[in-house]
Amino acid sequence: MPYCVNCGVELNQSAKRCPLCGVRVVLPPSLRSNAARVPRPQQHDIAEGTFNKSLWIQVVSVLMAIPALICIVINAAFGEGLTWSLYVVAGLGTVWIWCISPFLHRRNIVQLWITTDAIALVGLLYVIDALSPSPGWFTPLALPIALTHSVFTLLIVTLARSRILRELHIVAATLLALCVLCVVVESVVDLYLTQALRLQWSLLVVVLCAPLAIVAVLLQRRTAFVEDMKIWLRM
Amino acid sequence: MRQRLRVSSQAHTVRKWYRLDNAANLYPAVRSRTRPGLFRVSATLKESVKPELLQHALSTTLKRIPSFSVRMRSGLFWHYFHHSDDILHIQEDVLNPCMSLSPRSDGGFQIRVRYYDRRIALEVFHSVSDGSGAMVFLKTLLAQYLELRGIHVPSTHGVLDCAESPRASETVDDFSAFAGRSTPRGRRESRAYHVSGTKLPHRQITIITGTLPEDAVRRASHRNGVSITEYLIGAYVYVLNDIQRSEQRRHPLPVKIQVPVNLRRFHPTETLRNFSSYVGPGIDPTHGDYTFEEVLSSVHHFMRYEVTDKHMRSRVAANTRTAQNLLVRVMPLFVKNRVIGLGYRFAGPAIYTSVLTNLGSVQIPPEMMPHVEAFDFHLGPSQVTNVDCGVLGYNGKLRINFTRVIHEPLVERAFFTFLVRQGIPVKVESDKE
Repeated sequence: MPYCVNCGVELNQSAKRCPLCGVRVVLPPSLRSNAARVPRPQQHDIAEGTFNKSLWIQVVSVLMAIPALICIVINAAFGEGLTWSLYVVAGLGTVWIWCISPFLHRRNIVQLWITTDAIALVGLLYVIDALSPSPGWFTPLALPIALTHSVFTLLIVTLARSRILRELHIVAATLLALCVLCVVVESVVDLYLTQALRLQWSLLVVVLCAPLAIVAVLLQRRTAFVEDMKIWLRM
Repeated sequence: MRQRLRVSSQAHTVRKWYRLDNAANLYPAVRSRTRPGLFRVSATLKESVKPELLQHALSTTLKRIPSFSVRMRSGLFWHYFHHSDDILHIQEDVLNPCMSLSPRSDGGFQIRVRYYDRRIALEVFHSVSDGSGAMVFLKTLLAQYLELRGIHVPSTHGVLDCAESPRASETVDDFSAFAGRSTPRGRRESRAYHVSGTKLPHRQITIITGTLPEDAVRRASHRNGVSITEYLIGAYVYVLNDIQRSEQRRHPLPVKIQVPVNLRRFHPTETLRNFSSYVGPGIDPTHGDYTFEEVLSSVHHFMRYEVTDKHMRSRVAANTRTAQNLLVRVMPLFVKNRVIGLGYRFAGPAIYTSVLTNLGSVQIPPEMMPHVEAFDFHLGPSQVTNVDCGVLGYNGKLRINFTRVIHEPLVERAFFTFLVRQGIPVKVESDKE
């Protein structure tokens, strides 16, 4: 009989790894040949009414394609070539990507959704900039704001999922990220419009959010409060 | 409106509807996709199961134990069970047992019978019955199955005679009779520590089973002057506290285990419906570091003090008095469900670190023993406690089944390696091998 060298427990003759620690089972060839595999069920109990991903993608695709086609046809028939309909198509395309991005990857990785959604958003802004009569705002204005927003979202989600940030720390991090985002937005807009940096309203957001973030960090230290809050929020 | 219709004589009683028993009222109010409220008892035979014989045996068993052949209905004030004469179809077993019952796929029944290779499993929604009642059903089903295979099994050791009519005493709600005029106890308890980890995807669980020689566990527990259940609870509390300590929490929370108690030992009854309560032994790590002996002593004295006839009556009285309260009785069901749901959030799994339930030693007729290799008892998944544990003994072996909804086998590893260090040999197997 095989034993786990790490845990000291006896394992099934057919076990390839210890189910407790994952250490590989190494058996002499004479014993390995006798290792009969324990039959296990192969199917999962799938609930009726569970979310059908492919149906969702098909429905969303049709719902987005119909208005896009209608706009293209109307614009082509009654306008002078494709003009305003391209904005609609780009917008619908972005919404389509946002709707289906959670189901594009086999493994349920939130970071991949956020990255896909951020690329779609940047792409939409680029298209609008390229199509608009007065282009040139994409690089100095839209790109830094969209990137800052996406990077902070990605960072907070990654830290929360790896449990580095927990409960109220997530709230605090979100508030601080909001402060930084507001400062970036105001700076970028100021620089684009006046070529001068004069922070005003973003500082008000910082003054409001930073103390709240500190309160959240302090409350996180009160374990009983956090546990009560988790129960209220069904976490 | 809802009259009890009885067919022919008193001996041949088939009730058309059942009021949910006192404990059962909780589960429909709090059940959801993530909290299915099911548990499972299963038997592994020595030969492959023949599905057509099992289906036949199930139909016979359901006629003998009609309280399992029910659909749940919602009335104006309470949920109730409605008897069903439809055929409950057996299903092939799955990798993720104890998932929520679906009215469409399971015909509205509140139980499932599954088979795979040599295993026959019964999954029960907790409103229908408790572990002891479910085990009687499983043993009767096994006896019927073996009869169809040409093996005579006498109706002893909890196997019911399917030639007999169902008895009215098997479907009574004995909670009120047990509680009597006992004074209800307060139920305010503090939050408990919960093991954390990376959640498995929705509707996925992992089951790890440890098989231990009962003699070795008995020797170890007697060496410490405690019972087998107390020893296992003590070991469980000790390792859970160790896990909490390793997390280096600034304010450690109490480690408490919910331990169901079979009330049949205090109040002999034939009922096959719920008749159990629970206690919550544990330790508070804010009092300092506990040695294993101190944990065992704490659990032992708690159990000896709490699991007594008087204290259990008082605990049950708290529930029965609530259900008898006029305000509660006239409250419409949808309001009642919300109120129960809110109470459950604060006084349910939130106040326990985990559940450890010991069904005890399973006794079956000697004629059945050569055909049954093992019994198992699994608790359904809980998204609050994350890991729960079901224990039973059969034929000199203890089977400890951990059901978890997180990736990391932290608790199982700590528990089984601790037992190995105590000199108890453990054989471990996983459902994912």
